[in-house]
Amino acid sequence: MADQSEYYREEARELLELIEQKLIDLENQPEDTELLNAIFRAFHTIKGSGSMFGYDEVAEFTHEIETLFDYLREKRISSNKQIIDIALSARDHISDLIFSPETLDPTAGESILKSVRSYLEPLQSSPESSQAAEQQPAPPPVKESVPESDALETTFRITFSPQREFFLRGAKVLPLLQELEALGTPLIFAHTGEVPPLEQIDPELCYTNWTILLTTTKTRNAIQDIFIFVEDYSDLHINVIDDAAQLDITSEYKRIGEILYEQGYVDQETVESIMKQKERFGEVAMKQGIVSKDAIDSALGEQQYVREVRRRRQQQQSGTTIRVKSEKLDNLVNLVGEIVTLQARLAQYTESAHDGDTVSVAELENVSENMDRLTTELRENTMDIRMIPLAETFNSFHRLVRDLSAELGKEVELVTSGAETELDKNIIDALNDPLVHIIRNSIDHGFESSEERQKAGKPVSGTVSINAEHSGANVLIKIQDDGRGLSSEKIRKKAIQRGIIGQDSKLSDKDLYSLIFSPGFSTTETATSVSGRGVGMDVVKRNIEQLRGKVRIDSQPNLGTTVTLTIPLTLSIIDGLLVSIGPERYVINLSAVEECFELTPDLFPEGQRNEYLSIRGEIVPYIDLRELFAVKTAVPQFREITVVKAGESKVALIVDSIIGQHQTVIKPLNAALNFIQEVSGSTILGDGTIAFILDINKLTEKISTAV
Amino acid sequence: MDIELQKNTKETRLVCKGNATAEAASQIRDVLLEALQLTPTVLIDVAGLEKVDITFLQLLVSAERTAKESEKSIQIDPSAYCEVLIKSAVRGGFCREAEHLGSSSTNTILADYYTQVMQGGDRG
Repeated sequence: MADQSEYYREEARELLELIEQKLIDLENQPEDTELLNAIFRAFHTIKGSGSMFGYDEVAEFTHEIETLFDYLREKRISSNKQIIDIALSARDHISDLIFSPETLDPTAGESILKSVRSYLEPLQSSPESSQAAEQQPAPPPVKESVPESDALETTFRITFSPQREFFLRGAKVLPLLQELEALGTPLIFAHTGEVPPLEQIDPELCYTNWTILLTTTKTRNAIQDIFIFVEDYSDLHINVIDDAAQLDITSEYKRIGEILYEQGYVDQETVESIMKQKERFGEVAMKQGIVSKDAIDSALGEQQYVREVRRRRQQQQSGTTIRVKSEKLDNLVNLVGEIVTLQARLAQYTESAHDGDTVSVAELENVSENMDRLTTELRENTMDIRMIPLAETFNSFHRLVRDLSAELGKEVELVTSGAETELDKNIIDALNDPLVHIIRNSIDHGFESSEERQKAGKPVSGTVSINAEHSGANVLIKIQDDGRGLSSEKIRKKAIQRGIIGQDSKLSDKDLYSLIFSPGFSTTETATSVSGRGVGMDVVKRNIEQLRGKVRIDSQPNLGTTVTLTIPLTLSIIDGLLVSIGPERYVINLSAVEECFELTPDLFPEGQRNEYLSIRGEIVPYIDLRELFAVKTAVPQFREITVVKAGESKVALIVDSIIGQHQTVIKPLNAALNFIQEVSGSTILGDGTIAFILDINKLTEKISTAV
Repeated sequence: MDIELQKNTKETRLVCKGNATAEAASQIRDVLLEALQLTPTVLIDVAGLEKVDITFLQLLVSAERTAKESEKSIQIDPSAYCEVLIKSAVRGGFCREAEHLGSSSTNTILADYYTQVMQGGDRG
């Protein structure tokens, strides 16, 4: 085996040079995040490789320097000349530890670490002790402290495949896996299918690769940092497989075939062909020699792991009880009584039919009608039990507003109305976080200081008002502030800077405001502990969309900003309109349907097919769903139109035929179909076949973009 | 790394002491091969191991594969408790806690040892 420590010394020499250069640059550009990241990574590599190559003293010493730069990256402390001096001394000390340990001053390291700790300890100790530490001259003030417990958990699948020569380069796997343990509790699968028998094995080569599942509050970068010093001689993939920021309607997870497909063990065609055999995927795939037992083990492990993570999260989120008015339960019991009676009648008819007596169509129709009525009432009653008022959620915001405004030195009052508005309990639970984000943003960025308000002739105290009201099958929740309003110019500048829009993009104010919901967008120059990390509003939008809702933002300079959430009343059952397109059937939410009629040539202006229909003189854009879904079957002679409305937009959907009304129990889409934007879910029809539920919001958006 | 090979009529016992790491990997491979040629059953005593890395875990998997091919048996003596080996095998993903599916990997040598030790093997 080659002299392993020589590799390390070479690498360390280069990294120490780089650190020196970057530190000098940092002195002139103390806010440059790229420089901080580069220095952090270099120290991290020296530490990680040090522990792998037996330079334990280097690893131990560098660990604290690395922490110092981690805090600088997180802006928990600010860079200054004294920190640069300490870091340069640390760099020199590391160099001595590696290259000339014999001439080393044994007290130098401890003295450097003492200076480093004077910055770190105030941030690591309790609030009381950090107050005391403020009296010391060295540490600068804390800019931001993000409590770890507030961060949401993400589950990553890490596939790590070292090259055969991995060990020959002196690299080791176990220290890397140990470092991962510091981020969360990983579940690790070693794939040893390529390990040859003893006669053929070269014991110094690496034949194993790994799949690691890790649930952590840390980011992908934190994981990548661990592997940074072996990235040249290994293959690394980090994928998000579960994200607490997204709302789980179900704790279900992908099927084994899908997991194996994602992991690259099988192709789509093989998945489909095995699925058709209607046997356990893993068993068939293994029997046919398509995948190894190792791969099946890790896919099964992943399925169980993510289900468990989701189940735990759901328990935390919904492990509560709800108070139900006894009147609602009485109604439910009465309905059950009626159903039992109806069932007895049906049983009697069946018995009569068996005995050769005829049962009239009228009698059967009567039973069917009664059953229809009872099912509808039962559905409505059960849904009603799940409906709870928004009052409790609204009440909790008074404390939030009080604490936040005090923290930020602003005077803000909260006014709520419509707290009696009821929504499905699951929706109310899921709404809490987005509402907190919006209120936080509003208080932090939306309001001027008391002095500014006075100058502008506004009341010193600002007002945030939250109003909830019913609107058809939806509830509208408006969060309104009387602050400074959004600055379209600032948003525009930031969007260009972030590369979200081009220099020459001409966008209306409304479109500019919607950029606030772009991932990573934040107009504050420095992040605060309240908001401004640019992760809030995009999560708000995503979460609201997962509830099949919409979010809109309006603003007027100096008058304030209004965020409007449109939320469906319930998540699980809707009244739908069943339509057919080719051999498939689709459901349209009935609450969005304006009217239905036959498609006649005179609806096309000037008798020609173009982008619009003329409906009683009104020009309405249309989508031919046959064309959209590329249906190849013969076009029926007579087709029909349903006009739908989403928000302000009206769109005509051309379908083959309108079948009729249908009570739709919504099932989430299988992950493999998530890419179909125009479909929001599926439902099982009476004959056991599946119908997709059309996403009217997406369809109307599509047409407004196209137009 | 110190490996002692103790042979009797029924089995060969390999008593391992010290560091089972990359530096000793070739030596370990040779001794494992030799042991598998001597008797149909090989038992590895790991109580004296002080350090373990992936090369050793891979060699155990490889030895099990060789033993299966020649219809012999190799296992780690569960009465010899070795915390270092258990921790490394779990950390390296070669065996897992029983509640996680997929613990029955294709390589049973480490999983068997782990299960037997966890079920209360003699830790003397």
